[in-house]
Amino acid sequence: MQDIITKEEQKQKNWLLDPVYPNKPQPRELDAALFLKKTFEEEPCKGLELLFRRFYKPLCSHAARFVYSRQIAEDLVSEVFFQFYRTKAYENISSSYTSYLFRSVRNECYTYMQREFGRMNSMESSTEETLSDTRPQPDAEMHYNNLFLKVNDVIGKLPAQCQRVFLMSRFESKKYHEIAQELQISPKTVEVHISRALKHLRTALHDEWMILSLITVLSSLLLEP
Amino acid sequence: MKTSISKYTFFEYLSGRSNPLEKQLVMEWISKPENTETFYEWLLQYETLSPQFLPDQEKAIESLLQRINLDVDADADYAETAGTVYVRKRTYPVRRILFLAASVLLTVGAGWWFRDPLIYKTYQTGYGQTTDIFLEDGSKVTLNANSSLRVPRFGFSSDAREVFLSGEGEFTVSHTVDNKRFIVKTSEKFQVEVLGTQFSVFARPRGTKVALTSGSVRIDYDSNRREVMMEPGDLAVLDKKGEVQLEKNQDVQTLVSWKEQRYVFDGTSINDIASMVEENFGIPVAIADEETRLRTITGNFKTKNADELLKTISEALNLKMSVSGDSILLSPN
Repeated sequence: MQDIITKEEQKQKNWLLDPVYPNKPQPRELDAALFLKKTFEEEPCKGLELLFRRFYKPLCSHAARFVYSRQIAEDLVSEVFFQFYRTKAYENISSSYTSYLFRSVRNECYTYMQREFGRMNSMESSTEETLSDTRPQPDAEMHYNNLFLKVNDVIGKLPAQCQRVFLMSRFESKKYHEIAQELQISPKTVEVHISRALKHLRTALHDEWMILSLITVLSSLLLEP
Repeated sequence: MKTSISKYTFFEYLSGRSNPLEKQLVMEWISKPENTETFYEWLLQYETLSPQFLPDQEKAIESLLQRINLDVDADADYAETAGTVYVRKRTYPVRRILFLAASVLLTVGAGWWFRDPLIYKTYQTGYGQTTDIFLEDGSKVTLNANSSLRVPRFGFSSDAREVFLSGEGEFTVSHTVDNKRFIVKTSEKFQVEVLGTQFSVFARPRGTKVALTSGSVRIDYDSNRREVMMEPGDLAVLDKKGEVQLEKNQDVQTLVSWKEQRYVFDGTSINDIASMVEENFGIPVAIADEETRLRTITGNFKTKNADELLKTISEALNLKMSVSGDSILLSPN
């Protein structure tokens, strides 16, 4: 009798003392995720709204690092949320909401950049596909980082006036003539500045596309024999 | 080795302020799958702490919900077109597969597209030009003007020697020790099969004719595998109905007179001569009226060009020959 009780006690003690999930996210984070999951199950629309309020701003900020435009960043992020809801991706999400959404936005930005600033294989860009389930791709992560760092670099190195005009146009949503008026230059000059900035981006990113497309091809050969 | 970086280092990296060494460390750290979740968690924190700009969240959520409601009302297809301009999503695995599939298709397709030039060698004669071709088995083919002969580039197959003719040619087929058949195809439906023999094949849009000089040949025609055996002196003509008519004891030598730039006409109509000139010299010949068309001529002409031939014929029949552009008109004088 005595023995049994001691054993029971020990077990309980151990269970309490053990660090249960040492590597898992913080309990608070887990609670939030669980709460969101539950909301999505009961009322998907409400779940989407909660998710949106939590992630919209940071996602837009991140997208802007790639596309350098307020409008485009917002459009791309909204599109991600829309597709997330439309394809019911929330039903079978295996990673955290954070990584899923960031990954989707980065994919979206990459696609956009590729179309706007790269001359990629027409075959690739013509293929129509649905929302990604975004499997983890460490290589892609790194190159996405390099991509926005590169964009950041290019914009940072633009001549002062050119940079100013470009940012006014892309972040303050000002029309060419408004910028011209504000800076007291001709609308033609504004146009020249903006096209110069875009041209800089295009040439600077050219190598990036080469590397990225090479990686896509190589990894497709390695992953899908 | 467990690489670990501080959040500060990471934030500096995201701002593009890290030095190459720090960059290297961060990249190593990111490449570890177990750090992926932390990477995104920190990314979220970074973007929350130092936002690039402040979007109008309320407006955005309103338009998103509006769009969703529209989507619920309409079916999926409509929703695709209902929005403004949206960038399509890509699934990486699917894209890869599609990309791979496309490359494979392209390669195979290119091979398929170029299979003829790869597998076959084609001899082609221009207008007013004849040529002798010696095949690897010792057979000789004399090609008339505006004709082509296609032969396998890498040798004949083991069971038959097969060539493809369009236009006109005379074949002198040598016999092989293993009795390998020699087949001249003019279309999928018409072929001449021989052992060792000499014959001439005429295969032009106007019609198909086979003249046998010596030996024996068999003609397979029609998709129902019908056949005709020919003897020397026979002329086989494939008529418009797809039947083969055999004409016995013809002067088959005259049919290959083109070999010596000689034209032998025996009651040949101007109509036929006009077609022949167009086939061999590429010069369209128009005939003014029906009466002229049906007039015939008999004779033996040696010429190297159409002009000369038609001039002689016109003189003999008292016709007027007028050249307009690159075509010739024959009319009564």
